[in-house]
Amino acid sequence: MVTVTGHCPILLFLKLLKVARMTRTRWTLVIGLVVCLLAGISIQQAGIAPNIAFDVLGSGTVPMFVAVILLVLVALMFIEEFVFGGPRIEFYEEGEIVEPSSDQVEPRWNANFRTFLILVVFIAYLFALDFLSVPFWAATFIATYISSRILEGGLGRGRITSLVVAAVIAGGIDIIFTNFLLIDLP
Amino acid sequence: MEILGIVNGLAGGIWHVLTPETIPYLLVGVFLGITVGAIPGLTGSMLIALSLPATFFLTPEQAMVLLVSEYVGSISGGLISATLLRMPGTPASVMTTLDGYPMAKGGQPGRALGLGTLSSFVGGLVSWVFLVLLAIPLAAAAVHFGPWEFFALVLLALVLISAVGEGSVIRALLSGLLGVLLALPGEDPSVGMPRLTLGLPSFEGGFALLPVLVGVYAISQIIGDMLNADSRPKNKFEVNKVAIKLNDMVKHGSNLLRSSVIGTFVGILPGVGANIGSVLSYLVAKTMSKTPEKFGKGAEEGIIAAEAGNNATVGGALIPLISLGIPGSIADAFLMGAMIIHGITPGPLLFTNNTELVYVIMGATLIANIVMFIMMMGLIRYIRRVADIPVYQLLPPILIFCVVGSFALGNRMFDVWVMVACGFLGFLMERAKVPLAPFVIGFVLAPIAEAKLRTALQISGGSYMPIFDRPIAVILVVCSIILLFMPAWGYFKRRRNGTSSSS
Repeated sequence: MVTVTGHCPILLFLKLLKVARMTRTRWTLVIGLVVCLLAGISIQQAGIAPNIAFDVLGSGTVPMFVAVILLVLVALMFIEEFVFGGPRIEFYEEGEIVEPSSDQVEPRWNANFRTFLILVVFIAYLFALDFLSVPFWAATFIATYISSRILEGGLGRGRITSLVVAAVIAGGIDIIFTNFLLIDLP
Repeated sequence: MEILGIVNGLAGGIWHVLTPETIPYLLVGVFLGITVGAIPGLTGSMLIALSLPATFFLTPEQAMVLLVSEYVGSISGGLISATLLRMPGTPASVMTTLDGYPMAKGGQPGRALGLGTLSSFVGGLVSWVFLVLLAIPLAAAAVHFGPWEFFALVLLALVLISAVGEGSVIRALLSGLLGVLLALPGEDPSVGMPRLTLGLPSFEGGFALLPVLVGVYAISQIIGDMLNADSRPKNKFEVNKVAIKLNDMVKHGSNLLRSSVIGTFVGILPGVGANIGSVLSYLVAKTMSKTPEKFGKGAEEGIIAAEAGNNATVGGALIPLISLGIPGSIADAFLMGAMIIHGITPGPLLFTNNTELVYVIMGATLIANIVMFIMMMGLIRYIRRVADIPVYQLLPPILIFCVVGSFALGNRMFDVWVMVACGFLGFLMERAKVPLAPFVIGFVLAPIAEAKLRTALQISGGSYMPIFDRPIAVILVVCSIILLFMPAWGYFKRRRNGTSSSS
């Protein structure tokens, strides 16, 4: 396994991830860059969109217009965030109303790690369905069971329950969709 | 004659809902809605999105009855956890926590839940009356709309979402236009040729409605729920009896009616959800109260205003959907998606082409409110237990349902990957405080707006001048421009006042 700066790459990635600790300013930067990327692709694609004589506006005009306005809005969003300190947040948007008891609050790092693992399982599940042609019921059973165990924090409790729930979900969806709703599953 | 026709239509719609073929869907829908609404972290819109695949093999009437009932039930269900856990089950119930929880803490959980249920019921009924009174004439007027009027109307809807919604106008506009941008790849609506496809055949069909909406709304919410540690306090209140007094309607009549009307009209505005209806009703009730100091400390008026306001948005939001084809909220965007999946075009012609369906939707809204009231009064003692279920235990099955729902629509894994990508996009947007509602509305309305604009331009030979011959279109465009620049004007006015007061 290739390691970077002497650390396990997964741990390094998780350190980089730290999603819950990221501030709104950093998220604004990320979403701004994503929008710029999408707008850039759209402008390039709009330039080669087909045109037909009777269609005055053309296929590419609207995407081009929308993409350009988006770029302007990204610039305005950055100004709003970095110059004016971001939008005003109303009191009911910040979750101040909810005051959980402190003894029940889980360490943030656990939540990040748990979320990351579940997303890895989920993407692996989709790969298995799409590219490995694993039967739906089998892939769903495994993915649901592993996800449940991760969410339970690897504790010994509820293992049988997780197995039963995973089996019921995988089998139930497979039977209902295939036999009753006549929908082919992946 | 006209009124008689409407009454007959309504009676027919209600009768259709009450038939043995349809009523089970209504009962299931309301029950599921209340249950999901009571679980913090899950919302009615998510329930509707996940239920969409199950409606593929239902008749359009049964499908709409199920989805509308879920919508009604979920807004009401949020009251339970807001009152007992100080944690709103849905964003719409956020204001209920301010007075519901103190009242429950003061030893009256049953009274708080009873008042909330009664207010939800009245709010639903008042908005239903407005739905019946406004939707039909609005649709009749909209039948005469040409492509310029429709384009201007959609433009106004998109600007309204940004100007009236929560938070930053810039972020809301960005969200709406991002939704518009993602609706553009695929087949060009005017000439039928592929565009923005990156040369990939999978993109030629465009991004389907369901995977995009499920991704942006449900997947992003699931990721957010997983990241939020399960810090929920346990429900410690015993509810033996849900209490409503006979004179509640008289004592709180004006507050009930006022909050319901506010909620209804807030609901009509596109993309402005039940939470804003609730906030506005609450603030107005506090301003008009003789005892505003009691608000936030368990005031009956506060619970009534918040719950009547949020439930009234359901009927209000259905008005533009049914009459104009413009969704009033995220849940309505999903309802619109359900109609499209069933081959029905929402809008003014719905009254001509699918009259029965319109009256069934109206009938379902009324009956769902009545059933919601009965269920909440009778079963709240038992349903409240679901508020204790840790939401994370439900997340793996919900993820699987999202996959199945997105795949089932077109039988292609491409849609599932689109859902995942949109999920991450939605998550990023939420973290950066970019609202999701404008994205959803923009994605749904963009194809209509572009098609109308291009049709209008083809008719006029490329000239924009004919719009000035259409007074309604001009008024709508002027309103859009005013709304667009109103926040900036307000900002500069505040700054000027701030500067003058400081000097």
